[in-house]
Amino acid sequence: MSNEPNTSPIWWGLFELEELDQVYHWHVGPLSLWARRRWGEWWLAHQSTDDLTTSDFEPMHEVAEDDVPPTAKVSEYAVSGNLPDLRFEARLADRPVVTRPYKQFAIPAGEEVVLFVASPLWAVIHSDEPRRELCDIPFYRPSDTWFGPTNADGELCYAAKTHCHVRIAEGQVRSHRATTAVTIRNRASDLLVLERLKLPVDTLAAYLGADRRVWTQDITMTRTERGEYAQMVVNEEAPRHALEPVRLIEPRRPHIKNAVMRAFSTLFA
Amino acid sequence: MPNVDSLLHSDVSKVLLQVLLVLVIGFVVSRLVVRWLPLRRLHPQHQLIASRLIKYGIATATIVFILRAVGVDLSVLLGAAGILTVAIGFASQTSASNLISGLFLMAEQPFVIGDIVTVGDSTGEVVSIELLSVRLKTFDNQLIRIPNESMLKSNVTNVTHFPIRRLDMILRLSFDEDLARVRKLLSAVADHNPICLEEPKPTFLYLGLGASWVDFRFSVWATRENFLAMRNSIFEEVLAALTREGIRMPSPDLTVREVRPAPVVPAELT
Repeated sequence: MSNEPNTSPIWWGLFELEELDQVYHWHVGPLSLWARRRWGEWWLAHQSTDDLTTSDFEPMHEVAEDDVPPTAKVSEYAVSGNLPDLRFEARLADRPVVTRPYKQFAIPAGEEVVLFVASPLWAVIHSDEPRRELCDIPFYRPSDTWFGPTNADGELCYAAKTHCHVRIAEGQVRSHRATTAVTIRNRASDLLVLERLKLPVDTLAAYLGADRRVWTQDITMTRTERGEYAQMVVNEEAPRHALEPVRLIEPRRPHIKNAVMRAFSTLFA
Repeated sequence: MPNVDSLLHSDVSKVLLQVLLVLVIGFVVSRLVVRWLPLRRLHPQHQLIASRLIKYGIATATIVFILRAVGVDLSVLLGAAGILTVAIGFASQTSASNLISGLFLMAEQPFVIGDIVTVGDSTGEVVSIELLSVRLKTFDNQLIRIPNESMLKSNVTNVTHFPIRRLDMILRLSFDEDLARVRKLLSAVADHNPICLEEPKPTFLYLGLGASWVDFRFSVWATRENFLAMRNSIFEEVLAALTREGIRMPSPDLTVREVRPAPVVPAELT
């Protein structure tokens, strides 16, 4: 594990739980995980805190069963295989994420801006041989939010806890978050006053940079006419802000190429 | 003893063969028509009703063909049927009204199977939409049968039609409380609850002033699937937050004054 200020530990990979009936513990950012192996059965527990800025990390280690807090969510899985391995994978959110700029700002007609949006990662845990997905846990449970023109017409999304910025977030890289670079082009004839922005994170792939920051594919949203719709293009190449990117996460669902979607929630300028 | 050849060529056998042929054709046609028509585009309940109507229609036509094949005079039957229809019509006005109301309900679709609706005093899940009635299953597991005519005439509230719902909490605070502080506290409670929607935003609405208190409504939103869970959790969290901050619901403030009558001074007897 690296303690350098601008890198973060890798928490995903293959873990061998050698002892039967022994509880093992991981702590990554806001998420704590416990696992215990029994013959033909896996026992998993998890709990998240509200502190999204924490970079606490504890690699896999043994703990007593009494150390598991009673408030942790527990689940048990019957499996046919009996190998001692658990595989952790990183995945992006399973719904679009809605974010707000730190301060409302306007994008004049003809201008473009690049925003950086952070969204939580999910930890997907598999048993191995045969490989079975056991659970799909967010590092922290974002709040639900509705994105649409009315309360009857819209889509259920997650609300990003952090604001979108025009600069890459400074400070320590967080291993439980992914960053998306969104280019917004206002090709319409009026001002775009940005209040909220919806990102289809569930249709994106993600890459790991050399600084261990997780980057999703870049998105370009082009607004060509008045209103809240934009044509969305996902850049199929590696994200341009990532250092030596390596593909890490596949999309949860395929994106529609050049889709026109409701992407903005705006104020009338 | 009649031989096989004469049997096969007799009129009776021809009629029997015709009847058999019409039966087989009718059966096959009804199956094929139901399979080939694009009924899968319809709601499952409508598929069932449409396929039944098609099968009954083809069965009726088959019976008519068979009767004609065996030489039955249909005009006599039609005459009797006409008289019978008038009698049945008078007797089944309500059923006919329910049937037609059912067709209107199917076309308008104010609700579908699985929706939770309130009709009058009854609330339940729609378990079936039949030709004559709609059946609701209440939350305490009772079955309510509502004739379609009543459904069409009544105000039907579809609780689960839209994907999100609002929960209103009526709260009461004494005049001594810092209302702005309470609003901030309740906003934090809503923000902390992940199934409470961030948008639409929670809202406050002052409802009025009482003798020693102020009433207001605190409204939050959740998806219809999470509504019950959010309703229970938010009430607990609001109460816990108010208690933690020392904010209590006011009790009625009464001032009691005892009015003593003036002492009676006896008049002096002169």
